[in-house]
Amino acid sequence: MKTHIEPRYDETYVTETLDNGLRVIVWHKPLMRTTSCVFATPYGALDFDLTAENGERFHHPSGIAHFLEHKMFEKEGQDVMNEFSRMGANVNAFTSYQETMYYFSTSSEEIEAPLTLLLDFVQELNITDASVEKEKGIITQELMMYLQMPDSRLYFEVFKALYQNHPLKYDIGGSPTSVANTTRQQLEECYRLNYHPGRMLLVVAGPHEPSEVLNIIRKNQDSKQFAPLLKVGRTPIEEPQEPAKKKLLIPMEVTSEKTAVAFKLKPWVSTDHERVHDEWAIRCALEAHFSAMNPDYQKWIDEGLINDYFDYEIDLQKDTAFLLFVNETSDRSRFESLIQEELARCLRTPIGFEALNRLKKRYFGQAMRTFNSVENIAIGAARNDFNGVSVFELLEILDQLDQTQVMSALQHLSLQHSALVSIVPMHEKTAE
Amino acid sequence: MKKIEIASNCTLTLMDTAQFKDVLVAVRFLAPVSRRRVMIRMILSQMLCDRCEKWPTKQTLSDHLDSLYGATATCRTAHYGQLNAFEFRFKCLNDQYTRENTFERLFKTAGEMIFHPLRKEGHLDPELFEEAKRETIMANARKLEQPSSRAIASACAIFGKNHALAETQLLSEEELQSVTLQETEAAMAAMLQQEPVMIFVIGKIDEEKTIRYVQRFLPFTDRLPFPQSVDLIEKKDLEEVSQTMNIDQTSLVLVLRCPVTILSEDYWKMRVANALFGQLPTSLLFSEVREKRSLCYSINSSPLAYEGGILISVGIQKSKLEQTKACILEQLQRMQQGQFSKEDLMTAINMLKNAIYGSYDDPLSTLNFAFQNVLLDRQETVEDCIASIESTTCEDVMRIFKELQHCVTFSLEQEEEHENAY
Repeated sequence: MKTHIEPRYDETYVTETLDNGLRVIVWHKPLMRTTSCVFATPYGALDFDLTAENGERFHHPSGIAHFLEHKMFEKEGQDVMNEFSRMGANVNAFTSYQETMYYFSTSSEEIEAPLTLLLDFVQELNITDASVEKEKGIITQELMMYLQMPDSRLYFEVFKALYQNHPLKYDIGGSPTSVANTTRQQLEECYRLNYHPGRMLLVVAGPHEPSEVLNIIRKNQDSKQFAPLLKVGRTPIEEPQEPAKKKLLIPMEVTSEKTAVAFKLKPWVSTDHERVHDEWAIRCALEAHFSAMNPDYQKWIDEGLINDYFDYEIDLQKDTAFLLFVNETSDRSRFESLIQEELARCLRTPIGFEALNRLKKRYFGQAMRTFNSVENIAIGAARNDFNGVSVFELLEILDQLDQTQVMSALQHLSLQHSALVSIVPMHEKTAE
Repeated sequence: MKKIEIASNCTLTLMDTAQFKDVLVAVRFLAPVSRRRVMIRMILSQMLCDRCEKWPTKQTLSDHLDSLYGATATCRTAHYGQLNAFEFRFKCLNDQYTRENTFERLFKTAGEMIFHPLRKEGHLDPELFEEAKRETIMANARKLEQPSSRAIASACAIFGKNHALAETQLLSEEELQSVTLQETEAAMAAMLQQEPVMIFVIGKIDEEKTIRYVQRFLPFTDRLPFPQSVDLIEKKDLEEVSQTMNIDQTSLVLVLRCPVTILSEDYWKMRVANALFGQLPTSLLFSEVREKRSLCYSINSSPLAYEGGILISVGIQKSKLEQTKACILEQLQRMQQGQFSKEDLMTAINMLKNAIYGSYDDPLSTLNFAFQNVLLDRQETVEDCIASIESTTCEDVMRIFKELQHCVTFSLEQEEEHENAY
């Protein structure tokens, strides 16, 4: 057990890797009443085509990680949620593109029972053909729910427009067809490949003494046997630089048009530290140009070029990277020109010293606030771990960031390939 | 938690806790709901957090907040029965982490933004007003573009007809467009000079210093009395309404009238009953509609605490509409007849206790709990709530549910089951 004390931030946590390979982080929050536990695997929606270290390849329908997340809650025909509820603990789970996380929170002083239950239900898959079939209707309704929300639909269509082959072009939950084609055997295979303790991470954040929490975890894990770990990874996919579609108009029941201008960037092949560093450096530059920090921002609002829906997102990964701007506008081509022009300015104008310092202060404050909630701490710690940079390393990156580093990161942006996607009101013509 | 009377109908509630890295200062102004006032205050909430006299542009305000380590200054409105609450909310890191006097500067910021809005020639800035109106219209449209939000708003408008609940629903673009700068200015003046105010400060604070800052930067004088909040909706005949839209899923909403409100002795028992009925994964609605019949992904029931009602919302395939409705009403009958286990009741009790205790760790839940106490002029403690929750029996649940009356069924249906985007 290794104790980490961060005096500047007034935070303490311990880490340990168990004999079976499971990595554990216990965050000590003595003044909190609630405990939050997250059991996570770096297996997400992008991982439906895997290759093992021995060269064996496993291909499954899209959405299978999410399907598996649904089925994990079944235990001998019963829903494990009921057991958590009986303990007064709230349990839930989510699947993202990169990971699947199962978590519970409880304000009860007694955490051994729910923590043991979390470890037990995630470390055993118990499903039948009938229960797999039954789940298909529920998941299909979940897909429909997101499909009819204009905001989530816009993001979904952007990824479909940007990527020709990469699994990012599929919805996290897959499609009704891929869900219908998923079998019990496939779910069991995915489980076997991705839920080994050697691949997983457990994070506990709460008021309990870390040594006591670790004893509960060790006791539980020592009583279990696991097959040897077969290392698997996402099968590399050849992805052309060009987007699948340069323009896409989707009619929906919306009052005003919602548009995304999305740039398909080259994947960020570097160390995790460098990748996260560059992402934050570029974010600072973008914030200086595409927020109220820019004196022109008010002019854009006054001229009706943007409104308060306007936002941007940058995501740099090893196999994909994109930069995305979203807005509500009736003049999508003017909006696209605005983005192109301001991005060009952003690339050639160094960020001001004062502006960068203000942003560093802002992001420091935002990062500190994540320590206000045990659930945010636990989920954030797991996410940061899989992303390869802890929150304290990120705070260090931000602290050390200077104008030269920002300019240098911007030079790696390749903005040649983009797509324009709009959710347009039903009555508008879409045949462009 | 400590409550201090700053002036007549102006209270200051302090909660000194080292749990959080930041300090939260909330200032809530209270006024009776009217459709006009709701719209005006929605626009005001956009205006007053955007800029002010001292920081007259978005840029200068943004720079100022960044200098306070990403402090936030936001405005919002909320409804509690007949009451509209307009809230300014300010947050900044505790001085311990900034090694600067950010707490005092946050109070200064609050004073500037509340008392000195951006003006032009003695009046609220007309350009800012027009921009805020545009943003409000768009935000309102955005909300109603979400089929489930639209269905809930439509059901509430039917259930709350002739009551404050309906006044706050389904605002149209034309209505919002008709709001004038003059009436907004008058509403702002009434808010600052007359409306009752509640101030809340939560975080690691020095009590004496906080009171001094409140007196200096938020110098409120005597105000009008607190208006009434609870607005119990009377019994009514069942109304069934359906509308169609070009969407991928049908939204079904049922509203049940319930004579229990937040002021009732049975309030926490009703919350237990509702948890058992449709708030938990172990609830009858979740297990029967979703788990057993695979009819939906999400279903829940939630109480209308100030109006007396329970609202059930579910997203389904259009062809399953009648089956789902029948299944929900069947679960209602089961509740009335006591067809649930003692174990399920205990689960609901435990989960509700967990949620209430969990609110200790959330500054906003703490704030809202304190707000209800001041609003309803009572000193209910978490322990009081827990005691009431723990004392709930199967008979209580049956008794409360027997008094429910199904008043509204609203469905927002798919025009036809078409091929989806996948």
